[in-house]
Amino acid sequence: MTIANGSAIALADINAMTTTALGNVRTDNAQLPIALEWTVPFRAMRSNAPITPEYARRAFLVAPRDLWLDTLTLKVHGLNGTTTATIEQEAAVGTALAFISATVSVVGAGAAATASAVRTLYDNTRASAKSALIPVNPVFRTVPKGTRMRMTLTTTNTLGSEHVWCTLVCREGYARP
Amino acid sequence: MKVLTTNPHGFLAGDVLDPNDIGRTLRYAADAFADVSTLRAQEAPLLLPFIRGFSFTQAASLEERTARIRAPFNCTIERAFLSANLVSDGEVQITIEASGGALPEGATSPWLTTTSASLSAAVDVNDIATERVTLVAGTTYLVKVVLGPGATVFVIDRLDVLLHLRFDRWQLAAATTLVPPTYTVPRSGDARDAVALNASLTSLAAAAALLSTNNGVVVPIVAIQVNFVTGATAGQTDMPIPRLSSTRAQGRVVRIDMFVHWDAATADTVTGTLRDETGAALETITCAGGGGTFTPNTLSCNRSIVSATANVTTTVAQDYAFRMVSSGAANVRKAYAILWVAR
Repeated sequence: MTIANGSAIALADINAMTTTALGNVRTDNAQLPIALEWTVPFRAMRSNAPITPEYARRAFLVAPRDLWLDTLTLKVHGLNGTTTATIEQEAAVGTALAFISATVSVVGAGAAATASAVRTLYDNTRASAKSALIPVNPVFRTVPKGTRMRMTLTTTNTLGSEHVWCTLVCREGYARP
Repeated sequence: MKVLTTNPHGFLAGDVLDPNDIGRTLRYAADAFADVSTLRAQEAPLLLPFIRGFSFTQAASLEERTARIRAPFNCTIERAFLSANLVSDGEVQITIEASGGALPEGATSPWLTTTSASLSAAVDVNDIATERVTLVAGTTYLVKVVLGPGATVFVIDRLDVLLHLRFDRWQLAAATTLVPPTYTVPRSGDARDAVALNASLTSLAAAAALLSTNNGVVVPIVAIQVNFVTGATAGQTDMPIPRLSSTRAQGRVVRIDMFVHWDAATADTVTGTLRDETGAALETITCAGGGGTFTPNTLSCNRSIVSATANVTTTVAQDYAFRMVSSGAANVRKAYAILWVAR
C-alpha cells in the first residue's frame, strides 16, 4: 500500500508493510534449485567379445558444492539385454560407499527399440518421524562438496550398436562469492 | 540465517506505536535482505564433449581433439579435472586458449597433464587444476588434447575433462549487481513523516521482488554424437533431457551452441532440434558444411522445458530431447551442442 501524511492506517496495513518483502527473502533463502544435469553418453557396450572394459563404462563427477541428488535417468537404444547404471560415492578411489548408491535399470527390446527408466531419488514428499508409531524416514541422498562420485554402467547386451545416455540431476544452494 | 515470514515485531491492536518500533522492523527486513542477497554464486559441472566409445590418437584432426566452450554469461572455471584411460609414450597435455591462441585470464599452459607415459589403458590417469580461469561471455575457448614434451604417440580410449563453472545469478538476470533497499529509520522524536516511511517500504519491496523474479541458475547440458551419417534413427540421435515437473523445477533453454566436424570437406548440413515429448521440434539450429570440415553456430532462444505433471513414471515419453541429424552421406566425425539452461 501507499501511505501518505494524513492517511488512516489500519493495523493490518502496518503489519503487511514488510511481510511480503520478508516472504520473498525467506523463499529465496530456502530455494534449492536444480543446478546440475550431468548427462554422460556411452556407446556400444557389450558383454560378449569384444567385451567393453570397465573403464569405458564409467564416468566421474566431483561435486562442485554440497549436492542433493534428485533424479537418475537412463535411456538405451539398441539393447537386447539389461543395462544398469549405478551412482556411488567413492570413499577412496575405487572404493564405493554403499549408502549413497542408487541404481536404475533398463531392459531392452532389440536393436531397433528404445527404452528408458527414471528413478526419482527425492520426490519432494515429506515424512515425519513423529507421524507414525513406526517412523518412516524420508529417503534422500546428499553428498558434500568435493565428493568424487562414480557412474558405472553394466550390461548384458550382445549387440554392437547400443546408444546409452545416463543423467544425474542434482540440486544445490547458492553460495557467497 | 533464519528469516521469518511475518513481521518479527508484529504489531498488535492496542499497541502504542513508537517510531522506534517501525525503525526496528525496517532494519530487520533490510538486514535479512542484505544477508540473503549475498547468496548469489552457483557452480555447475560441464563435462566437455570429447569422443566417448571410440578411441583417438595424436594423428586425429584438431577438431576431434578439441572441445569448445562459448558461455553466454561471464563465468569462471573454479576447478578442472582430467580423468582418462590411455596409452602414451610420454606426457599428454590439455590446454585451454581463446580462438586467437591467447590464454584466458588465470589459466596456465599446460592446464592439465598426464604427467608421464601411460603404459596401460586399464590404469586410470587423473589430474586437477585449481586456478580460477575467467571466461568472457560470447568468447569461444578451445580445450585441446596435445602431445607433451618428448611424447610422440598416444591412443586415448576415454578422456573426460570436467569443469566446475561458477556463475553469478545476477548475470542470468542481465544485471551486474543487486540494488539494495534504501531506507530511513525513524526514531523517537522524529517528525511524523509517512512519506519517508512509504519510500522506505517501497524500496524494500522493490529490492525483495528482484529475488523472486531472478531466482535462476545456469545449467549447461552437453549433447554429443559421433561417426554418423544421414538415416540414423531417433533412438540413436536423441539425447534425452529429463522433463521435470514445474512444481519441482523451472527451466528454459536460453542458448544453444553447436559445433560440427566432418571427416572431409562437404556441403552436407547437420541440424539440431530441441524436441518435446511428442517429438515436435521447438527450436532448430543448423550447421552447414559449406565445402569445409568444421562449422560452429549459435542459437539464442527462450524455450521452457518443464512439465505440468511430475515425471516419476518409467517412461521415455515424458522426456524432451536434443536431436542431431545429418543431411547427407559425409561422415560426421563429431557433432556436439551445449544447451544453456536457466533453471
